[in-house]
This record gives sequence, C-alpha cells and structure tokens, in this order.
Amino acid sequence: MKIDKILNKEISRINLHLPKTRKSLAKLLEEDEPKVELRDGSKHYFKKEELLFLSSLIDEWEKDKLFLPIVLELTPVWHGYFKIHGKIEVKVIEKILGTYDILEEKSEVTLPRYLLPKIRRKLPTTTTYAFIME
Amino acid sequence: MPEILKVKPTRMELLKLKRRIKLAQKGHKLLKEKQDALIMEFFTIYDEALSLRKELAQKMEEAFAALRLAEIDVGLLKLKEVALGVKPNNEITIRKRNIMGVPVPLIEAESFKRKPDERGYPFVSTSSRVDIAAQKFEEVLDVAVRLAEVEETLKRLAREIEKTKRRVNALEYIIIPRMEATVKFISQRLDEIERENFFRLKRVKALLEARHA
Amino acid sequence: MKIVLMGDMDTVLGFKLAGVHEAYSFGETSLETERAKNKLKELIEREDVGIILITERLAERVEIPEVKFPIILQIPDKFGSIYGEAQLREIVRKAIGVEIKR
Repeated sequence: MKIDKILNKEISRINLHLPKTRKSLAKLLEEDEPKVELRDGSKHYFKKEELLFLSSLIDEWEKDKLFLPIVLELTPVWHGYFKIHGKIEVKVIEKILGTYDILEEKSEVTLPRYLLPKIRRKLPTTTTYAFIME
Repeated sequence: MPEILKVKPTRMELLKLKRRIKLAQKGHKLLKEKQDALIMEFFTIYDEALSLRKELAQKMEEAFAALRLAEIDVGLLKLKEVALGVKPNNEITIRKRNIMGVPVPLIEAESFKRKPDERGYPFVSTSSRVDIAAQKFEEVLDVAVRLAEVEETLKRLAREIEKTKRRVNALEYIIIPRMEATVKFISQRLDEIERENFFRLKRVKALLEARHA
Repeated sequence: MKIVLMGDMDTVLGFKLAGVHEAYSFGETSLETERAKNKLKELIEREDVGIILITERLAERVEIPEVKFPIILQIPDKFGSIYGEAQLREIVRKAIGVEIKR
C-alpha cells in the first residue's frame, strides 16, 4: 500500500502552493515587502512593479476588490481550458489579453490554455495555478 | 504482460483493488495536469533565459572592448589602481516565490548603473574611456542578475518536471496496468472457483439423488 | 546580499570597475584550480553571498556543485562564450526529453 500513500500525498500536495488567504491589491500596495503566506507555511513575495502595473489597469475603488494572487484554475475536466473567477480578476486578465469590453461585466471566464504564457509573462508573481478535482 | 500483485483472490480484495485503481487514475490525471502546466511555464521562462543569455554575451563583448580602450588610454597599472578605489555597488535582495510547489528566487535589484562621481574613484585623474568601461560592466551586472534569477528558476522547474514525469510514467505504465491485470486475474479466479463450486454442488446433488433413488 | 565574481584577471578588473562586491582572480595552473575550488566552497557556505558569477572557462575546471543557494551563474569572458546557448538547451533536453530549436 506504499504506492497509495505516495499517491495520497501527491494529491494532497498538489495545491499546497496556494495562499492561506489572498490579500487585496490595496493592502499589498501598503506593505513594505508585499507577500502572502502559502498553505505549506512558506512565503510568496510579489514583485512591486507588477502590483503597480495592476493598479494601472483598474479603477481606484477596485483595488480593495482585487485579491491576489489571481487564481488560474486548471481541471482535467476542462482539458485545454482554464478558468478565472471574480469580476475584477476577469477584468485584469481580459485587459492583458486585449479582450476587455467595458459593457460586459463577467464574474467568471473560461479561456483556452495557449493564452496562459501571455498572462504568466506579464503577471508571474501575481497569478498562480490551482488544480481542481471535481 | 504486466506483473500481478500478490493478493488473495477474494471478493473483498477485488473491491479494494478497484478502489485503488480509482485513486491511481485520479492521481495520474492530476499529476499529468500539473506536468502540462509545468512544461508550459518552463517554456515561457526558457524564452526569457534565451534572450537574456544572448543579451549578456553581447553586453560582455562590448564591455571588454571598452575595457581594452580604457587600458590603452591610461595603462593597466593605473586602471587597476582605479578599480581598487571603486565603491561597492548596491546589494541585492533575494526573496522567494512559488510556482506550483517549486520555490524559485525573486530578485529585486535597482539598476547598478551609476554616475561617474558615484563610483568613488577620483574621476579627475581618469579618462572618459574608464567611465565608459565602468558603465558597460555595470550594464553587464544588470543583465547578469536578471539572468541569474531566470536561469535558476528554469533549472528548478526542470527538476520538478523530471520528478513529475517519473511519477506520471510509473502510474501510467507500471502501477495502473499491474492493478488492472490483478483485477482481471482475481475475476478469472473467482469465476473458476464459482464454476468448480457449481460442478461440485451438482455432483453432490447427483450423488444424493442416486442414494435416495 | 552580495554578488561575487570568480574568473581571470581581466574579468575581475572589469567587474571591479562596476563595483561588484568581491572579485577573485585565478591563474591557469592546477594549484590555482585547487585554490578556486576552495574559494567556491567557501563562498557557497557563506550566508551573505547571493550570487556567484563564474566564468565558463573557470567553471569548467572546478566543476560546479548543485546547491540550493547561492545562485551560481556561468558567464562568458573576454574570449566569448564556450557554450553559447548549448547549456540552456541541455536543460530542456533533460527535462522534456527533446531537442529544441528556437
């Protein structure tokens, strides 16, 4: 049953890099060393220039509502696609991809995975992957 | 033909095994998902590393050319003396970020480029060619620090990919097939046992009937 | 944290002009190679060193151990790069198992 133990460990380990709680952009901008604590107890630091870049994409009042890191959800069920939840999160990502439409307010979006490198290049520390099992 | 696990051919074991196959398949799917994401991330960073490597090579070539000119201008001895008087540049802060469970460095450094009067050598006694050489090497430092972060990240992702790949392959080619073969084996054994029992029962029944007749 | 350079005399001279925090030069003899190995070991153990820059030509002689920290980066010298992008491609080949051209 050793294999099962390793497997169970791998499965439970797969999302340990997600933050215990996310922080708003507004809060992170006030921090000297902007960071979040992860589920495994380690720290994940943000690049300040990335936080400033994000600030430039949204309105002042939205900074309290944008929680970081933005979670890019991957699931075997939606192979070839990923999901993002949250109005401001979606706005930011769509602005980066150049698909943002001011008239459309979405609280969730599903996008093809080949767009991921573009997002990760621009937001390497302020986005993170999550593996979702149904 | 995959090897078969050593288990007793019972209904209990069969059920247990089927549950374990489910777990293994779930693990396989998840790890494969992670492997795909790691590889995508890897290539994004690889592109960056590649262009920084090229930039570093070019900047260093320029820097050494500038250094040669400075040396011709003031002489090697004098240049060494100047170098001794240069003030240390900014220190760097190395922090951590995390990519899918892989801790990688995050370096935030201000540019190392300085004005001649910030370098600490008595600039009246040197030539502008010395300044140019110093500036070119400062530019080299800027690129080198960025590359250090990116290349280290790439190496760490590579190690994680190898590890994940080994797990995925073991599941796909050894563990799951072995379990499936065992399930098949147990099912067949159970069928056989059932058939044997059936015939035995039939015989007993026939015997009993013969005795009563 | 500090950036430390290891290499030949000219590389050391250039990086000193840029204000690198420490720089050590090594000659061609095998005795110097030993000295370089010891220096590298010492630098790796130090806690104030964040990055070690080492010329490819020197790295070839001392063999670089795999360490968690500090970051060790190989750099070209005045003769240019030995490997170009070959070392990067080798990382790809090992991780993904394919040769890549891009």
